[in-house]
Amino acid sequence: MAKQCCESKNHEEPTVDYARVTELVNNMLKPPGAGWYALFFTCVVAVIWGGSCFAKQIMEGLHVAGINHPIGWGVYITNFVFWVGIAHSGTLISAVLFLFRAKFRMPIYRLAEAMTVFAVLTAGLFPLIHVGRPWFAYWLLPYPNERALWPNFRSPLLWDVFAVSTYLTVSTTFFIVGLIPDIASVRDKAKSSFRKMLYTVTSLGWTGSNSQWKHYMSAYLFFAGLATPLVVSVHSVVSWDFAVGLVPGWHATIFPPYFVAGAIFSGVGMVLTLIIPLRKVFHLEEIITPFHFEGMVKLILLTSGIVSYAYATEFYVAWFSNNLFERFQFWFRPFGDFKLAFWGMFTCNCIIPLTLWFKKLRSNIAYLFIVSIFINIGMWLERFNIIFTSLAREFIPAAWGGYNFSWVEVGITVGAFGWFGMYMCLFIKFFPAVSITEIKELLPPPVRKKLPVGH
Amino acid sequence: MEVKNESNTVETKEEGNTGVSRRSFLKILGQTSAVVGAAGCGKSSAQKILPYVKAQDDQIKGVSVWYNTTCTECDAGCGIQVRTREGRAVKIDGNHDNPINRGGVCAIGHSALQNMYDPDRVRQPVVSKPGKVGEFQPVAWAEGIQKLVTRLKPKSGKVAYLGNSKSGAMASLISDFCSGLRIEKFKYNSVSTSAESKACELVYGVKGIPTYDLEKADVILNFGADYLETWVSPCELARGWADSRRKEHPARVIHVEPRLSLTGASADSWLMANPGTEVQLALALLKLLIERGKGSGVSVEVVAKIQNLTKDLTLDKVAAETGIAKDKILLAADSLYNAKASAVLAGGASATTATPLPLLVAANLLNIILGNVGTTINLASTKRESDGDLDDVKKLITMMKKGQIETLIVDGSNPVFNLPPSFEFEYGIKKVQMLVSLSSQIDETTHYAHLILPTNTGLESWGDVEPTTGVYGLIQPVMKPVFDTKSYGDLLIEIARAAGSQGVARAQTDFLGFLKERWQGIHVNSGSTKNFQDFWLESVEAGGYFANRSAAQQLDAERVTVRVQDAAFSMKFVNAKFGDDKSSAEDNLYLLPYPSVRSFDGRSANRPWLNEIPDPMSQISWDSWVEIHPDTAKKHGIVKDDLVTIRNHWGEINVGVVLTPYIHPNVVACPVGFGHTTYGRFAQGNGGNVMHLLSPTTTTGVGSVALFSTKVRIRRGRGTVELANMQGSDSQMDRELARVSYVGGAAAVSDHAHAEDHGHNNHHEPKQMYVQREHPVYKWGMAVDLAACTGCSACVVACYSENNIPTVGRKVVSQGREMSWLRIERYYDTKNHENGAEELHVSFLPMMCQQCGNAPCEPVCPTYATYHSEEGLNVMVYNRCVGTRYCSNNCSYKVRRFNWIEVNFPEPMNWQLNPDVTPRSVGVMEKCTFCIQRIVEAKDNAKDLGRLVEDGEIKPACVQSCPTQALTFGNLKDPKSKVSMLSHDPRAYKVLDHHLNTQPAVSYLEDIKYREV
Repeated sequence: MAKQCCESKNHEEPTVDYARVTELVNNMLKPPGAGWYALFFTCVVAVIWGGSCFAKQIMEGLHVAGINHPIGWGVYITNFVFWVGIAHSGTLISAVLFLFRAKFRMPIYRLAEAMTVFAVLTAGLFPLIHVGRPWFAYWLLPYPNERALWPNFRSPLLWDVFAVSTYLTVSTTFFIVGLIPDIASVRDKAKSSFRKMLYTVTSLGWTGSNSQWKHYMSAYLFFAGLATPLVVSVHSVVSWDFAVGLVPGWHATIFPPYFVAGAIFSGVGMVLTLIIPLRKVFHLEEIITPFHFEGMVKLILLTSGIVSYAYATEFYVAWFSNNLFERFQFWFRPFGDFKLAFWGMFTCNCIIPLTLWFKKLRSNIAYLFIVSIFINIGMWLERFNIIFTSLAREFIPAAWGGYNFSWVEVGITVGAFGWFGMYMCLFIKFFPAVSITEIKELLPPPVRKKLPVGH
Repeated sequence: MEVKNESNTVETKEEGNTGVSRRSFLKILGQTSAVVGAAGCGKSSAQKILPYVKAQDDQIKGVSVWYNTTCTECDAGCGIQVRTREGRAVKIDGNHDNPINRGGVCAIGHSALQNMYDPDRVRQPVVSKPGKVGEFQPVAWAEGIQKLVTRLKPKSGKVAYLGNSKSGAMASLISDFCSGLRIEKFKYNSVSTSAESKACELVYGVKGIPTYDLEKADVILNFGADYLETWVSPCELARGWADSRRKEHPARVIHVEPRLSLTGASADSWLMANPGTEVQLALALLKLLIERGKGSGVSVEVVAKIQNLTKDLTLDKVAAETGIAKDKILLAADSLYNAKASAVLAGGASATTATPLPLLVAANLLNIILGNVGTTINLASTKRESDGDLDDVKKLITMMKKGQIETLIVDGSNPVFNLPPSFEFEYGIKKVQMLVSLSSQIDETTHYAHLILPTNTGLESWGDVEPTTGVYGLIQPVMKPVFDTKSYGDLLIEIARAAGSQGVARAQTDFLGFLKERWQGIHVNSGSTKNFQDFWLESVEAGGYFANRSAAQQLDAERVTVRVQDAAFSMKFVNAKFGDDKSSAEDNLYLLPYPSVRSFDGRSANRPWLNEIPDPMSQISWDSWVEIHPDTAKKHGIVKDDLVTIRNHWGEINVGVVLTPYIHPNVVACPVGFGHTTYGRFAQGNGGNVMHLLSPTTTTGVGSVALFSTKVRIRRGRGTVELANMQGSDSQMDRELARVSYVGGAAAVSDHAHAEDHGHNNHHEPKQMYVQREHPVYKWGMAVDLAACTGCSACVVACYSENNIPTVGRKVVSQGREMSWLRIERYYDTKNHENGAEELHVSFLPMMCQQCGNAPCEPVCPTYATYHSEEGLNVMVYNRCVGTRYCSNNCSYKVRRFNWIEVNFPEPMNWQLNPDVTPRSVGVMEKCTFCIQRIVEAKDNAKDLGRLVEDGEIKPACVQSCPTQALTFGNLKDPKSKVSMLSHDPRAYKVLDHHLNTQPAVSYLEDIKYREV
């Protein structure tokens, strides 16, 4: 019945049939084993640790974090940009590649879309965590009030508020709508009464009728079209947090495309980090094949190239500008006190992905996993480089300073990963993490009788 | 909470499903609101404001009352105005009418408030717990005084009194007190200008320190005297120095010393001398000047004696001995020769050696040869020496060690800390049967007290000082004593009366009466036509009586004839010796202890402002350090952050290290005044007490502590210490933030000129992209004259004091979270000249919020917590700040400060807080506001008078405090205002504006420096 797909390059569809697909996906939704519980428990503990660090910060003030003067933004904003960046890749894979009809996205995009939603939820924590008075954070929202006070629409931080909240709402809606037929499919097979109720509610009464399918397809297309520009716009807006400032090292027009490419780069890395173990644990090798990984690798190479080009542009423009401050900043990055971070970033983002040009390496799924971890580290370091080093060496040498790495920040960072992981674990166990609908679209539909050849 | 409303219930029942009728709806609405409103007045949320039942005559709530008095932090006698609000002193400004400081206040002067409100002060009389040292329990005043009085009875054993020399009425009272009760009086002054005074006596024939009218000088040659920091009268001398630099033809300053001090940093020419050899340079200059014909106003005998003294000197020998290049010596001689008026000073590091007199005498001889007496050297107005002669103390120590002193009364001096332990004062004091301290601080000496009768601080006392002949400063209390302390004078009178000496204070019942009686004499001598009461009240209101220092005085100064004593030539004019008979061969480095603007002699150590505001040269806060030349450090394997052990036979200290190339390689320097073991929570644990390393050597011919005479050895200590260093980088990195204009020959040429493509400081306004703001009435601006800024940091303390800026402590400072709104940046820049010579330029750049017209911080705040006002200020709204810190990131001057921690001001330090300035909560951004509270106050006053604010009416705290008047504030819209004129000065420029178009409201005037070559 189910045959392992061959190594042929032209092979586009998995050689499984409808039943097998349903079976595999439902396997994922079986009551969880010890491994899942262990992972979930770890995530929850991380969240609790992070939460208690945040509580300490609220009680005592921001001195428990590492930020100081002049480095006013540190680990928290790095995390914010990191998580927002990761989110973009999910939308790229599920929406943009949908519009391009790229077949290699099929089994992956659902998980990527989930990653987007949870990553935005994680990123949304950080503006609250990093401000001095989080209990007043709602002042960034434009609500009518007696004092006729509006927020400052010229501020990139406010653009962030709009961009990220738009992104959250659109991605979530896209996600929820896209899930409907799959949840309905799972609903029909559900055994426990809790699951039955959960799926009944979330499938919104899907029956699979023709008109529903028609509406679903056009809705999906519509949302994909709506989400696509967000991939470019949201991270451009986030990049303007930096580019609009006059800090040397921040004030560069290349930031929007640089950040967007970087976001996709880091997101693809995170997708691989999630998909490869998932595939192993749930035996999805028939559905997620080397062909799909090939597509991901191509994305990695493309975005890594753009990011490397952006680094080169930054350095070149700093030199060409003859501006004393810019030149110093870009000397400081590779040769100054934080040079370890710079060279780490350079190695992880520019050098290591180059190894994927070798077929032997890129076909090795375990190696891909390692590379994806390095990509994530490298992209975190990139934001560190942009934020910390630029602030550490600004215009006035007397004000130059360093950073005080603190356990509270580590706790909150780990807590954020735990928060993300927690949602991911729950999602994988309760909802179909692989899109049944779209995979089945590629498969020949089951027929009752197989006509013999020649009849 | 229950609402009983039967009628409502009935009606609702009646209506059933149709809902509530309009009438009952309104009833419910009304009653609920009333109840809710009443519930809101619960006892937990109500706060009471109570007005005075009987209004006070001299106070309107909300209006400040200012009292003129005199600062007592050192002997300079600067006049201060203390602002009080509702009976509490909140700020010290300077008294413009006082001729000593003319309105300036130094860093230590401002911190007198923290001394009065010191939470660790002794709050009532105490006795030591039986059998314990340093632990005390309260006692009533009557009982405490009685304890002392019983010891003053005739048969009760030897009583001694140890105190520093006071001037004015207090000195007289203490004399009476001691003689009346047969108490032997011993004097001890921790700061000494005895050597300087003796040298004046020897050369000029006048005992005391002359008044230096530096503003008249064209050349100032200074051997080590740190007159911009702590020497003699820093506010006065700094002002004179600044005035000399602001002239049409600025004075050239040559400074000779073994270590770059703050005063040396402002010199045109800093010459590093081998320790103890400056006297050779002085003699060489004498020789050169006499050879060229100077000395016409001096008697032939004296000239001959000088020639005899210098006959064996050659330029080569002097250059070799002092380590100063020949051409520099010749240049110095040239400058002095060509100057119409010059001034030669000596003191500080160069004159605290074991034999200070030769250098001091030679310097004074230079003055008379150059004809400076009567112009820059004013011998008609002299200052009393601060008598550092230790004969008294040594005698007391001997007597104490022999157990001959039964009772010792100490006035608040701290010899256990200030005197080197090698004198064995601490050993002796332990043998005193009853030590009574009149201090209100538990310092190292008071620690051993058996009885403490605490007295008022200077701000709570009556008194007078005569810092210079003809200047009579009055001290008046500005508020009731904070704690249960007594006035020093009143206490002495009370004790004397109780002990049976009725003659003390000439039968006055209290010190104020005694003071007034003394002032009868001053009234008579003044020739005033007013009656005494009016004269007295006028003087109290003015802060003193300042005899007119005008042409009449000038004439007096010129009339003084100089009488050179023979003894001036009978000493050996050789280099100072270092080390003593206990020095070992390994002790190969010379130890230079120096007083600094913050620590002075250690008396101000428990004041957080002075600890947190960094030392302007080393930029270190909350700690002491040792300055070592990098080559020397390398030899000992010492690197940055190391702990260094300095030791010799006499003691050992462990301190952090500051590597600086601007110190003689064989010299290591430590600031005096650190290393307290008691004294309070802020003073303890800060560094090491350098006095521990000094031998009991006293200066030859003078008898004071020979500060700079010890040899030590150093080695890398165990462990590291991260000194809280405020400064990120010591170099400007060619960014031209603090600019200098070089004076060479006739005209001032801006060094910046050839670096940019325009030939002069760009006063052309670049084209702006956007419509510019209109400022209808005022546009506030500031001008900072870098040529007058000495880096003393008085303005920084003033800002802390005025604006309720919290001090955060060593740990938080080293995390980079200090709160100063105004900071002094100190840059070392070396210029390499074409001929290979390297020239050092030290810049001090006061940096505060530039109130940019095109502020980078304003557009990026998401909640509009900062915006631009109609008057040109960048306004910060604390209540609206969410704390995203984008404004701080985008500020190119990095002047914004975030509140990282919850701050608390321990009682009663919170009494010092300015009620007109909001204290900020944690999570909120703050920055300099140009003292908007002072602006608003002045505008209010002007409005009441029906006019606009006049130029000079508003002085932000920093502007008011600056001893050299380097800062100016005013309305840039008024073309005649001082700040407008200064901002159009050829030397004026704006920091970073050229690069960033931030349009700062602060203009800086380039520093002035003479080119060497």
